[in-house]
Amino acid sequence: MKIGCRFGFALLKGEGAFLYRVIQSMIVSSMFLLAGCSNWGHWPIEGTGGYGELLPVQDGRLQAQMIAVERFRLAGAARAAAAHLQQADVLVVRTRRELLAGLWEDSVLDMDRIDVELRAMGQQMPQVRPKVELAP
Amino acid sequence: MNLLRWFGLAIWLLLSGEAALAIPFDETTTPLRIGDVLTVNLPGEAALNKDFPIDRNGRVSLPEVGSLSLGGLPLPEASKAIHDRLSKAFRDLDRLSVSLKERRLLVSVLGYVKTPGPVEMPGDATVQQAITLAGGLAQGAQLDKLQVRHQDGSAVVFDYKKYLDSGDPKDSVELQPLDVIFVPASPLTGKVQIDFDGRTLAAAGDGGEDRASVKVFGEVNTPGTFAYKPGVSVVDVLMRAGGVTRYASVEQIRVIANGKPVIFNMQTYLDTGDKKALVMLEPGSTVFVPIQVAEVRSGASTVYVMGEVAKPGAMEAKPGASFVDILANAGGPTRFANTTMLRILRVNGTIDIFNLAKFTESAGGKFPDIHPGDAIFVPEKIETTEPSWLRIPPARAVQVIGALNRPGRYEWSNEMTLFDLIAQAGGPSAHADVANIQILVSENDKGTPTKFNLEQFLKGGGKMSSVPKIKAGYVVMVPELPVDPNDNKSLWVRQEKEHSIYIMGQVGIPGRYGFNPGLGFLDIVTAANGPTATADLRNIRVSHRGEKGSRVENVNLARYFDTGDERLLPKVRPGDVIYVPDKNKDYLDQPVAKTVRVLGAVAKPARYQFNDDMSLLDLLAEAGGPNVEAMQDRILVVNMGLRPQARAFDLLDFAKTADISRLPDVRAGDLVYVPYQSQGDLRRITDTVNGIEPMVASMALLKALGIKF
Repeated sequence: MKIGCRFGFALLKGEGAFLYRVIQSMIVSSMFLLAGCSNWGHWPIEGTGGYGELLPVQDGRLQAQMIAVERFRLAGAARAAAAHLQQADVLVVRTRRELLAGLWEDSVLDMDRIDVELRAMGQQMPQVRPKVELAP
Repeated sequence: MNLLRWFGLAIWLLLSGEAALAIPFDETTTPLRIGDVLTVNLPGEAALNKDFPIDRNGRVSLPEVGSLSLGGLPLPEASKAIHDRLSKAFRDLDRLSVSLKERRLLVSVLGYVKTPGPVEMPGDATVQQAITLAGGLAQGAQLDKLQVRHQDGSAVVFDYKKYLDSGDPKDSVELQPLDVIFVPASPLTGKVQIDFDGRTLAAAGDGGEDRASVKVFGEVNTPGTFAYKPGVSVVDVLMRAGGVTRYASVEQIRVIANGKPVIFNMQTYLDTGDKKALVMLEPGSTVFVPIQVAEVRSGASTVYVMGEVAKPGAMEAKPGASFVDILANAGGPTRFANTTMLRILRVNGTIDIFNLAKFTESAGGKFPDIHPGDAIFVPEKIETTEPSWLRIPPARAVQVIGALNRPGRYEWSNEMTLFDLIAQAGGPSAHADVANIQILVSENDKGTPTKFNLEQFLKGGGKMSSVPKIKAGYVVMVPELPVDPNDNKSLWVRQEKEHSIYIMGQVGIPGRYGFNPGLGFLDIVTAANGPTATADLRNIRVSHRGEKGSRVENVNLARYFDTGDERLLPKVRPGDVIYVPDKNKDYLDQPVAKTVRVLGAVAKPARYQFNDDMSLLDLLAEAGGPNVEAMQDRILVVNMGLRPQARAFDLLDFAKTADISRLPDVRAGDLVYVPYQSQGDLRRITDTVNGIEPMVASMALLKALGIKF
């Protein structure tokens, strides 16, 4: 205990500049540490759109496409153009997610793909409908 | 005044009718007869002012005085008799007048008439009128022997047909009252009453039992007895008999005229036209047309042809007739004839064998001599007696090989079709590939292969002219389909690659399979025992060969099972290759665009297949979830789109709030990274501080030790 006191005293008395330098170095290191932490803590913002199909749609083009898909479904596309209808449904879900996720460019491309499916259903339905005796 | 009298007389004559004018006899002398009608006129006596016919007894019945016999009396005497009789009951008969109004003829028509019985006719009526009033002649009436029986018992038989032919009244009989006309029946009608056809009766001849009739029988179409007419010849009678039949021996027609037999050679007569060769007939002649075979048999130059010829029978071998002549006259061998084994049975009992097929093929040699009495026997082809397959030369045979029940060599005839040949060969076997029947057409020492799709023809039909024409010398091959999938290994060499399809990967029995355009994608997948449990149904690949350039089609069979949309199935053709990949395939085979890379503090970091129905939560679950070192509130998602972006996800907070709006979007191709807790901000600060403490202590120790730095 005595030794410790003497040593501490010495640090303060005999070599007052040494303690100062220690404290000074700790302050500088903390500053460096805080400065480094401020860089490490730059996380991306929180994502959205993972369940976009459960949330309202704001895009007008996509809304029109969704209405067109539903019309084909009511006209019997589930039997007359089942594959195209299923693919259109998948693309609608994908696009709704992309819109909410902020992937605007990708959503435009996928809406173009929905148009392709809609055109395919439009061509296929008149050919197949008389054969499958669909509801009017 | 005289003029008025003449005019009144003319009017009376007109009104009195034709009967009064037609009476051609003298009333003063001609006796009255039965059927005459008298008119009695006594003014003031209504009972007398009417007609009084003379009945069948020759009597007239008068009122109040009874009957009076007047038959046979001339009219004046009859008038006086009436006056005398009436005077007994009437007075003042000065004005009585009796006149003959008309003459009537009462006869009876019996026998073969339609309504036999009494008929009443005008006084000058004829037999023909009587028959007409009796309804006409019935079928079967004998016209040439009509009888007229008078009341006095006498009878007259006359030829009514002759009267009909001539029209001369002399050929008929003048009728008298109460005559009986009897029409006899023809003896052709028989003794039993039947309804018969007049044409049949006429066809049997019109001669009846007349001895002068000509009898014709034998090989004529309508044998019978025909009426004789002077100057009739054999040819005339044969024509009336309907001509000779095809079997008639026209060279040996036998005629008996005046009791003398004569041979009439109608062939010679027709060939030469020589009237001397014509035989004229006499009344009662007999004509017999013998059958040709009978004639040949009776001849001394008969040769018999038997067996498989068109017209077997006895032939007349005229001098110079050869073996071929006789065989040709017999119609030649039929298709069933064994022409290699013709047998000639000689009169002396020996038997010669003659190979007609070989003779015709070698175009040389000599025909066997044929003598009267010889018999040519053409045997039938019998399978069990075939001496050798060499019996049918190549130029007359068709070879049928392959998947048929009875392949072999078959004798061919050009009227047959491919279907006849297949049927003769027992039809296709159970494993025959009838869609690819191959026909090797060999002409002029050159073989040209052609193909015929029998399966398509049977299903869809088509013109029969489109069926390949088969000729002798052709080869017909029906390929064989594999009995079961294992045969793909053993028979693959025999299976043409143009008719094969390849299926590899995760199917029950991959290999090369026989395939035709009528089959589909599911057929071949099913034939390979279907996908295995590890098959990746979403990424089946079909390489379409035989097209310009290369084309690989990706087939999502799982989607087909979801939707049932047939358009998802590819159109495959022979030569295509189907590859069914393994779900657990090497990561190099997994397309980047269909996977999401999950890295960091998860149980199973890897690439995972991902589709747009899934979410980040599905992906984390598939990767085993974050581990204990994971920084669960800082899960990072990198979207690799046109403009890549990174987003964070706080799983802990999501589990507490269930706020789905804070779940980042993940798509195939993206990256998910779960950081370690060591990468968190507080941890890093702590670690930094922990690193500074020893450094400071070390520096203090060094300073205390007097070490300068």
